[in-house]
Amino acid sequence: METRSVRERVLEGGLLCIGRYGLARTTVDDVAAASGVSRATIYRHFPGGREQIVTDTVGWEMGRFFLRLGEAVAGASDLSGLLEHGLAFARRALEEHAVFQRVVETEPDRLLPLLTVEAFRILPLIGGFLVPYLERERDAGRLRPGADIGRTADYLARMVLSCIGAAGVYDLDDPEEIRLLVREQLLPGVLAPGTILAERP
Amino acid sequence: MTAEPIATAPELTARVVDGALRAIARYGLAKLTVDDVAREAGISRATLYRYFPGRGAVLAAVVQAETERLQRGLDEALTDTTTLAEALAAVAGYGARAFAGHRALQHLLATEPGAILPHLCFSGADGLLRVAAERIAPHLCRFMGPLEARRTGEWLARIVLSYGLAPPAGPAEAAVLGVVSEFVIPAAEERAGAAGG
Repeated sequence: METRSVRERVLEGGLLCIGRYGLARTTVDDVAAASGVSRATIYRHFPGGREQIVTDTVGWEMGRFFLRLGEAVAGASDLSGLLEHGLAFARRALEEHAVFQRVVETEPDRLLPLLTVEAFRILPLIGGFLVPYLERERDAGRLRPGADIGRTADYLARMVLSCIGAAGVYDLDDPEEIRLLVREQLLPGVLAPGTILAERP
Repeated sequence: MTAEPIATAPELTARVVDGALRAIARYGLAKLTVDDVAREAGISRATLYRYFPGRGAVLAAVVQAETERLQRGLDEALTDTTTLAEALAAVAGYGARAFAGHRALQHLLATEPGAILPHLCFSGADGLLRVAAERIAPHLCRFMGPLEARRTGEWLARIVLSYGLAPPAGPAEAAVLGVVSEFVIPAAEERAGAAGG
């Protein structure tokens, strides 16, 4: 019995092929060989052919990336812990994602438009993940007075996604620097004054 | 058939840059030729080639001129600001307007995202944020130390870039100014107050 769906097998094959041949050169035949799904079946599930497979594979893998991120931080006790662990995990996972690293280096012109479209889907996903943590901070009286949970979640989601993509002045491979970023930039705008301990070495 | 003679090299450069930006906003980058630029600039192909040996040289001049123009625009936007809140809002507002109102940039984002996004995402974003932080920081040093000015400048640039690349439903400038006044200014004022007092 095959437990994974045909669609999933094709997308897995697509990811394998993109890692091997790149976004531009992956063909339906490659994906058929890698996934063990026939060309005819592939076309039935992906009528758009290789373009659709490539686009859907990128979207699928990006969704899985953030799903793994969500699982990794599910046990965080509070907002600052969530942001710190989330950023550390995401930076490391992106660094270790061999297919992403290869493609962003060799075919950024093809990859980045796909990722930018996906970002519209990912932002509400991250925001939705943050909402219960923000509600808990609000109930504990730690949010800024009058803060709107939805707007705050959207702002934090944008900044988190920005920091995952580009570290900027903070060295986000260093947990201590992530801690500083969270305490100096992300949280002060969101939490009430005096709720973040000032602790800079 | 071409326009009036050009007095100086800077004047010619300015005309070529303007012509190139108009040509990019109209044809995009992939199909952009030196002929398009010469036509938009109102100068002959031969004159253009004398100063710019090819498409790469034209585009390099565009990037340099745009960097300088953005710097001047930022300086102007900050001229009449006296408080920290005004300065932060001026930087963010100018950035959002510059991004949303840049016709060549917007045309590329809409029609040839692959040509422009590598300069705005991941390592491209790192470079852009670094430059933006360097340019913004001197304007904020009135209110805070140099390191914090860099970090705050970079944070404003992040906000502008995020709302530029994933635009909200309404006008981006209003959204950017909204989050800056809600999430950046209060914390920055508290920090400045704590440091000063």
